Amino acid sequence: MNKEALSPPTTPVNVFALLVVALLGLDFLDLPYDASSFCGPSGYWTIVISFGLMVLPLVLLAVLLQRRFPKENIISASKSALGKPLSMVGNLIFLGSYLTWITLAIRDSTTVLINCFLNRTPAWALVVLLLLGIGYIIINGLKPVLRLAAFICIPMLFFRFLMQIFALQGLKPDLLLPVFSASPVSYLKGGLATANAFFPLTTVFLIYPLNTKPQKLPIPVLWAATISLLSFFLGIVGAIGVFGAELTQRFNWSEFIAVQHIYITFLVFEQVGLLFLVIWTSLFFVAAAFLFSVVAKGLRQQFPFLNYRWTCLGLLLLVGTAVLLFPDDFISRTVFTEYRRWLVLPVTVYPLLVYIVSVIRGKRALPNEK
Amino acid sequence: MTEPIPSQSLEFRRLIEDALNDPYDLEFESPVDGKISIAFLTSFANKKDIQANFLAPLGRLLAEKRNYTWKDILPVISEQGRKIRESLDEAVNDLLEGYTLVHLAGSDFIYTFDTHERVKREPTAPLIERTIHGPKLSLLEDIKQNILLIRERIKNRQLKIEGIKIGARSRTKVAAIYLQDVASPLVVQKVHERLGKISIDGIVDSGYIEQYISDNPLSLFPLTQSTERPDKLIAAVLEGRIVILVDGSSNGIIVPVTVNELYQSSEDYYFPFWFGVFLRAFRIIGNVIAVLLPSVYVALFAVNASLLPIRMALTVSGGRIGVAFPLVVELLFMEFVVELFREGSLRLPTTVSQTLGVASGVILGLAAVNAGMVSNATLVVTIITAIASYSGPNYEIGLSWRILRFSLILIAAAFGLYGLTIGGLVILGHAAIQDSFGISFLSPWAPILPKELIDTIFRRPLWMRRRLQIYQPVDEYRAAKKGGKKDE
Amino acid sequence: MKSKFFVFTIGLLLLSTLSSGCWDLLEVDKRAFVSTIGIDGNKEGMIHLSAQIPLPHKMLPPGATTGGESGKQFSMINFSANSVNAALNGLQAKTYQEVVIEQTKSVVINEELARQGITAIVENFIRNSQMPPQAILFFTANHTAKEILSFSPAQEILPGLQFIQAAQLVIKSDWTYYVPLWEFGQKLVHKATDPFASLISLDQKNKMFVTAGLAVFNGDRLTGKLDMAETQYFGLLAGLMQAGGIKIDLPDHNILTLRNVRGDSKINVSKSADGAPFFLVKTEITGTLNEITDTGKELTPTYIRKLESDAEQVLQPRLVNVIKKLQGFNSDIVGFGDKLRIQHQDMWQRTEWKDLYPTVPFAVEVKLKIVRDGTLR
Repeated sequence: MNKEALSPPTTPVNVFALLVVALLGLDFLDLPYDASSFCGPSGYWTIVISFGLMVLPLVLLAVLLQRRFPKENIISASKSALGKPLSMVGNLIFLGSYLTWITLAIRDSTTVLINCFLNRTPAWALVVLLLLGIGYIIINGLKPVLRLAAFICIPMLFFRFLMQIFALQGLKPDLLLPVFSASPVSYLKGGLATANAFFPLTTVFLIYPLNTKPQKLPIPVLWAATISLLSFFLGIVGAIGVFGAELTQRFNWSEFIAVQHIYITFLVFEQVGLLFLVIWTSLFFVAAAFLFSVVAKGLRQQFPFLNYRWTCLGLLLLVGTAVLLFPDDFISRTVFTEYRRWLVLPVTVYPLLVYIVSVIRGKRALPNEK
Repeated sequence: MTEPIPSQSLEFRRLIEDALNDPYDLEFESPVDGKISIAFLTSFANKKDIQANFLAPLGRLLAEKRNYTWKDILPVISEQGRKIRESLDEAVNDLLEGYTLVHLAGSDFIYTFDTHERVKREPTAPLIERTIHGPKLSLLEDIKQNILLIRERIKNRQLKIEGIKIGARSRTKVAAIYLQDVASPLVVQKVHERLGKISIDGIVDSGYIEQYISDNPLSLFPLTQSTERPDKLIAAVLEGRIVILVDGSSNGIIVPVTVNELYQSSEDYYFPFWFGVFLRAFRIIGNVIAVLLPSVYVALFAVNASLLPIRMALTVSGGRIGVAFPLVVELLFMEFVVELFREGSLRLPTTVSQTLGVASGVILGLAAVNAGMVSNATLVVTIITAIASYSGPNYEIGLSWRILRFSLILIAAAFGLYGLTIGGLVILGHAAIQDSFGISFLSPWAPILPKELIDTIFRRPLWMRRRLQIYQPVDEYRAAKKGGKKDE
Repeated sequence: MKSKFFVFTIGLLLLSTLSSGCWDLLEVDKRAFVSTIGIDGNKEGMIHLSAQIPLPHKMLPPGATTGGESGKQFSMINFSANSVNAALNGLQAKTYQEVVIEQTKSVVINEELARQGITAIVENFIRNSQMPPQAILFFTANHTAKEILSFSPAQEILPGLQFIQAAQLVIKSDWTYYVPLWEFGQKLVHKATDPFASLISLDQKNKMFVTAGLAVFNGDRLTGKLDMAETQYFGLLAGLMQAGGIKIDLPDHNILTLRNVRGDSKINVSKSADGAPFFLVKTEITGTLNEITDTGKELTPTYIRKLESDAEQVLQPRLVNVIKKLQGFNSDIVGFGDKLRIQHQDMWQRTEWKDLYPTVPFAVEVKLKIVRDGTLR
């Protein structure tokens, strides 16, 4: 395994492709539930608030950290800032957040597939299939993940947006009114609840040294976040505008159901919803491979004695076992719903902490590392 | 055998015979006095030419002079490919390459002359990569003729043709051709390294070279491009890629290659812009159908039937009444039969292949449906897939998909559209890992090179002066701006 | 190394297909597609489920080598149980194929059952991901669902498919409005509106289905029906009429017929002096003049304005009557509650809408515009 395959440099366009695939792939089709449960019919504002609360500060923080530690990601920068013992704990919590997220995400994706696609296939078969496929991709480093993301980005974006636009079929504007149906506090709470939609964006703290044009870091990140925002917004409007806030809160995966209800007269396929799941699965597959890959790479950075491939294998086994340990979907869904609302905290607070401590302690990259 | 050339004729003859184990086609001729020995292999040289170019002039010389030296001999005989050899080893190697040896008693060196009469055939139209528009020439087995076909089209000083002999026993001539001021030096260096590393006893065809120089010979995707068309080679050289010709092979190799190139045909560029775009788009759709249609058929009709229009589901269901086998089995059976047809038709005499192909296809298809072995829908799917698979201009990528199609069918049967998605992504991931001489196989899609995407589904207009940057050419522009100089 | 892993992965994937048993592999010919579900019920709570299953060999196109026989194109299977889901499961015992509802086009529910409340039935179907959310709901008038499903119309096209075809044609959405399952569920759950759905009955004499009129609900209970004409006026009020045709008997005994009629309403809610909401419904109708029995007159702008004015006077009380009838059924399908929710959120939150709706004051203003006159002046 050569170093280039592990950590290939990549242009801003490809950083954009990677992040947008990660954001849309790890969208659990349930944003309308969060949005409408806090803010009712005008829940679509919550994702806009989330963008302001999370994305803009995150980009700023990434730029500041990059300036301070140009060729280091958060794993190595934290060693300088916090010292080895504290940074080890912090890094493990940071990486562990991604690992638990992906565990719950795989469980949730398996549930939606069994519910809507393959009713009789046991969960373990789907999990094994998924992890085998991811394993093959990540075992060769980050390079295939980057390339896969670049390859599927444009067509998947196109089809996803097309389907979400068609999902506006039957939309009733009255169901989206009044425009401000909740109190400011509710909007703030809703914004915080939906902020986890941008959770994958925090991987920028791990990958920004790969960017060949550091001065252009904010551009791909903001573009990826903006396009994702559009998609999330469309999804929320589509669900609430078609089903109303009350029914949206009854659905498990309201964005998918919103596409499922489409009826296009002369289309070859009867049920567009399943095609949407295919697109979402493709995005999810690459996004999951990306998360696994950066966690394995991060662990190897933290513990240089680890072999990347064996680490990948270990993570796959660990996650696979953890996914199948959940006794039923009710527990996994409850845990996931609560957990992912809070999960943004470690992955945003930790880099902020690293930055603040590095400023206080005057730590930055050594001159020859710039 | 680094022995020196013996000065005695008899000794010379004996050593040559021993070196080659007294082969049937080894002959020695000698003018009257026996001081000059001429050795040649009759399989290479024509005896009439030997007579006319060597024996007759030497006979006349001997009639005029009794004492003669090389100074007297050389002016009267053929000069073609004349080389001086001082070791027996070199002499034997030359003999094996079709040279005639001329030995003068008392001399410790000999001269060798190129009298190789090659097996030649007339240039024909390409067999596999046929086009409506464009040259109707294909490459030949003679490397010199192939080089000529390229030289005739690129009359430029920067055209570099490097030769190397590969194969311990076959010593096959291999030529690497590129434009010095265009091709990426890194790629050129890699080509040199890989060709230099080849260690084998004999090269029979360019396919051997392809497998040796490929970045990953076990990959299911071709990481070098093989073509029988000289115009493709010329276009590749102009783009900054490197062409490798192998003596004895009527296929040329082009490196590096991307998946994009494997779906492009030369005539995309010979037709006006929009026709080229249309043809290319249609070809890509055809290939997608060829790859995905059987597995999507299985996924929809055996697992995810809810996606189907109800009338189609009922019609196909009605058509399967009386069919003995499950849908997956009948599809695999039909795919297998089509593969048999493909292989068999390659070896059928051309006089009967077309008739037999049509008759057996039609009759067999109808008979299979009537016998209840397959349903009409499966037959239609198989036929469309078979026809669509020929829409791609590159045979090797078609082979890749013929293999991978079976795995996609199986996984679609097990897990429906979801399994097909995962299987497709794994295959795509495999393609994403591959490089061809340092260039990503999925370029310019992955990594994304925005400016190069214009030449993927669409055909780049010819008036775009800028070369594709995928192959990292040194010279960015194909031609100068109007009024500027861009030649030599 | 890379290729070994690739071969390994593909091999494992393929092995998994062989060892897995392909749990969801079920070919089309082993599936009994239910095109229409019929649900009847009795007062004891028993559900009688009927399923219409198309016969594939009857569906083959002309010229096919097998099938294409004449006669009924479907078969019927029935099961009774104390819940819809139990009855659906029970159907499995009635056929050698696996009964699947993934291609169901319509659900016919008995009027009597609907009067008892249908939340459980609708939720059951929405919860089941196999059930297409686009399936159209019908409620029977004067027949049981089983009778509807057993009926073979003169045209001999598969009945379930007929309705979908009708629902796609805009011109058909005039005498009734086809409501898919998802939309019915949305209105059922939404507190500010009530659901409605199409009525279906049989014309035994002419051997055809009649889909005309609406079943209207108060919450999840069917409380009343609108006939064809009332459905049209409701369509004008709710903006559902897209290409309808209406006939207006003018005061001067002439008849005015319009086609390509579109109607939509703006509902303004104001607070009256006693704090109660007052609803002003402004309905705008456009149409093309199709027929005027007062023939021979040139259609000058003045004459058209007169026609419009006369027609408005006729239409206005009809629209009022429809709303009053709906108030009588306590069925807010026009959307008064929604307008109140949007325009006066505070009032909405304080109000028990179901108590207020039957007596809420309103007024209707009609504006008719004849925009085209066909090919004759």
